[in-house]
Amino acid sequence: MTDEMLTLSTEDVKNDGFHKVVNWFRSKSMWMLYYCTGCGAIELPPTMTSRFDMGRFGMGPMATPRQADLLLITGYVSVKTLKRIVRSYEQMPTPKYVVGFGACAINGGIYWDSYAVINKLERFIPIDMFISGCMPRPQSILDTFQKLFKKIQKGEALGWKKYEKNYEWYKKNQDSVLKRTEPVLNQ
Amino acid sequence: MLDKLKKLFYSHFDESEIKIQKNVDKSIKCYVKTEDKLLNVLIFLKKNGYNHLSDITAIDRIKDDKFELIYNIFSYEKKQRLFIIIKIDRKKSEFITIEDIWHQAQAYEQIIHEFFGIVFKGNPDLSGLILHNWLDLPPLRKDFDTEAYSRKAYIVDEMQTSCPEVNKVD
Repeated sequence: MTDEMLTLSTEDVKNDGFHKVVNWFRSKSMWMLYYCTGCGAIELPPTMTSRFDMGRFGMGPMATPRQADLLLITGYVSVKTLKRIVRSYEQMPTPKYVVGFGACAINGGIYWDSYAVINKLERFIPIDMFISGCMPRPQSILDTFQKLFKKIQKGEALGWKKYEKNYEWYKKNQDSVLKRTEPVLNQ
Repeated sequence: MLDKLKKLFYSHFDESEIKIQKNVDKSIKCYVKTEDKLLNVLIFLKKNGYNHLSDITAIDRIKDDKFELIYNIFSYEKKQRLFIIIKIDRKKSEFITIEDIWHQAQAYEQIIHEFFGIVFKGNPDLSGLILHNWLDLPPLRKDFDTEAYSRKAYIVDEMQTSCPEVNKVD
């Protein structure tokens, strides 16, 4: 623990070290909102409860998006779900982080050729971390959270800034799926 | 059970109209040959104890150019499940509603209309229920190509490259 402790000199504070401190504190207190779209939700109760106990990392569940820092998307995302995910994501206050669970969030997984499931979630909202697996076990979930915290401490988890900067691009992609005006296949 | 049911049916209907067959489990399949007779069969069954409609489903028999409608009916008295099966024309894809017999059939027909495009005449509400803003062919028809749809709608490589700045953050 002492190795990880933050050391900060006056020079650092002058050179925007303030954000470094804030990021360190942020990573130690994470409130997560889990959007249980698919089977990934099944792995979260053991991660939260006494066996794996994510509470020891300062994480806890939050009921509303407006008070959450971390959005977990656990599984496949259908078109209808995407609409709700975008809505929840935009309600969250910055800084906000997103973790995509499993193969389905990465590229559609076994539902890649389904008419109802979108394929690359990355194109619609920015994702900070993906977990591979179908579904990922609690060990890999906790491992990913550890890596995400390191990323936050270094100030590299900037998905929310990406979203602000490329808002039009993300909106265009979202609208191309959600607000379709023409049939996709002219059959 | 099969004999009892045959006796019940053939006392009231002609043998050329309904074919009764045993299914793999204990349930029984009844093929109704003519479309006009279906309402009569269902009313007759409801009067004779088969008063629970569990489900309505459809199968697209594209090789025969037919839609198969399956009415899943159960009797709590006799502990017996019946599948009333009727084939309708695929090109016309039109049928009569059974909402007057079982009220819950309205929602089942609404979903079948959404996923197969079968129009149930007399059903008050056939609006979309599950799909979001759907403009293509109904997706559970066999001539709907789900892979081509997914490729075109969700795996568009232009989307990936048109914004080179997406991974850069100041």
